[in-house]
Amino acid sequence: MKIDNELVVRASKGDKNAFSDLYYCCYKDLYKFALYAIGDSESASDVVADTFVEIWKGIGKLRDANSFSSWAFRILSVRCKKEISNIIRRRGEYNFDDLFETPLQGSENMEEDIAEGASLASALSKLEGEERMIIILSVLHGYTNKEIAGMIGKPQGTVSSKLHRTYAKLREMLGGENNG
Amino acid sequence: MAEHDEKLFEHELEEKLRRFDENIKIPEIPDAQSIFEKAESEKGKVLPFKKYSRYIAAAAAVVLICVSVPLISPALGSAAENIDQKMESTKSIFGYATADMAEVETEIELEALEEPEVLPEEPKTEEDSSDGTLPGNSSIELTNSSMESVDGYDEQKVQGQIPQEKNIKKILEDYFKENDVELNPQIGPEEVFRSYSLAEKINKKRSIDVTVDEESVSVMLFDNSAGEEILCAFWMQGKYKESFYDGEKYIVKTYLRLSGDMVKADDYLPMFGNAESGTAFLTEEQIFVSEPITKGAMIVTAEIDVATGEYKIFAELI
Repeated sequence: MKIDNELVVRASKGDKNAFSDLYYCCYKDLYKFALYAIGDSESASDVVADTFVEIWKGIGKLRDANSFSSWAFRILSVRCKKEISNIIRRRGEYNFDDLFETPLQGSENMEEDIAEGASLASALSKLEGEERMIIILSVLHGYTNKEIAGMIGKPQGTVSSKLHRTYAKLREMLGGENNG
Repeated sequence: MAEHDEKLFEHELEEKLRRFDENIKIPEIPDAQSIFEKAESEKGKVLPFKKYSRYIAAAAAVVLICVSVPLISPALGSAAENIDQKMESTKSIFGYATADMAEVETEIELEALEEPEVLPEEPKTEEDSSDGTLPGNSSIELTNSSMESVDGYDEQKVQGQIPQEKNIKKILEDYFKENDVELNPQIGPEEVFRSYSLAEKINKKRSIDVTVDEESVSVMLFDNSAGEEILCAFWMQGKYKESFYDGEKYIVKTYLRLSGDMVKADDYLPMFGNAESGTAFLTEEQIFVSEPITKGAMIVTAEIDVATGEYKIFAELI
C-alpha cells in the first residue's frame, strides 16, 4: 500500500480532505484484504468502513506516519477476526461466493483461466482466516513475518510456521492439479 | 530437488495470487463523508453518557449513602466513638478542635461507610459491571478509558507489577539439574491443530473473543455499547488452560511448558504482545515462584478489567 506520508500527517491534524484522499487511496487494498479474510463482499465492506471510522478517530495519536499502513492493517485484521468469529457463530462456515466470482481474466485462454481462478478461490476458502491473512500480507503486500506478527497479534514464530503450513496446504490442494 | 520444487510452486502460486488479486471486483467506494458521519454518530452515542456520567455517579453515591446509613449505623456508632475519643485526646493537647479534625472525622466516617463487612453484599447484575452506574469515579474512568483505548493505539497498558526478589533462571537451572528430562517430556509429534475461537458475551455491553492457537492465545475485548469498539487486543504465549469471568475481571490462563534447553537458551520468559507495542517478554518481577516447583512450567495469567479494557499479565512458576 503506497501512502503519501504528507497526507497522513495532515489527516492526523484533523484535515478531512487529506483523510478523504487517504481513504480513496487505501480503500481498494483494505477491501481486498477483508474479502480474502472474510469471503463475503458485504461483510468486507462493513468491516472496512468500521476500520476507517476507527482510523479517523485514532489517527491524531499516530506517532509515525510511516507506520500508517501496518497500523491500518492491524485494525482491519482485528475486525476481520471478529467478523470471522461472527460468521462461524451465525452459519458455522465461511461463505466464499464473492471470492469465487473472481475468475482470472484478460488472457487468451479464458476458460482455463476461469478454472484456475476457481480452484485458487476454492483452495483459499479451505484455509483458516488467519492463514489467508498471513499469506496475503506476505505475498501481495510484501510484509515480513515480523511485521505480520505485529499486525495480526501473534508471535513471529507462529506466523512463520503458519505461513510455511499455508504454503504446504495450498501445495497439497493445488499442486496435484498442476502436476496432473 | 524437493526444495527446488517447493520454491517453484511458491513462485507459481505467488504469480497466480497476484493475477487473481488484480481481477477482484471492487464495489463502488462509499463516499468518504460517510466515514465522518459514522464517526460523529458513534461519538454522539457516547458523549451524552460521558457528559452526565459525573452527575449519575454523584447521584448513585448519594443513593448508596442514603440506603447504607440505616444499615451501618452500629458501625458508624463505633466509628463515632473512636473519633470522639481521638477528638477528646487531641482537645486535651490543644484545648480545642481545629478544622483539620473535622476533616479527619469525615474521612473516618466515609471509611466506615465503605467497609465491605458492614454493607450487605448484593449480587452483581449485568448492568452493574458495564453501564458505568457504579458509585464514585468508576463510571468516569470507564468512559474515559474506553475512549482512550478506541482512539489511542499509542499507549502501553500492560501493568504487571509484582515485586519479588528472585532469580528465575537459577531456580529453573536447579530444577532441571535435579529432574530427569522424562519428568518433563517435550510436546510430542506435531498434531493437526486448528485454531478455534471461544467467543463469549460477558454482559450487555461487553463481549470477548479468546482465540486458541497451538502455542498462544489471543484475546479481544469488545465494547458493544456504541457500535463495536475494541477495548483491548493482545496475545500471550502458552497452551490454552482456561478462561472465565469472575464478575469484574475476565481471566485467561495458559500453560507454558519449559525445558532445560529452553533455560540454557534464555528462552524461558513468557512472551506476550499487542498491536500497539508488538512482542515483549514478561519480566522476572512479573513471575511468582511456587515453592516447591513440581512441574518446571509456567501458568501465564491475563486479568482483563471488563469495564475499562485494561489488563495485566503475569505468570506463576510451578
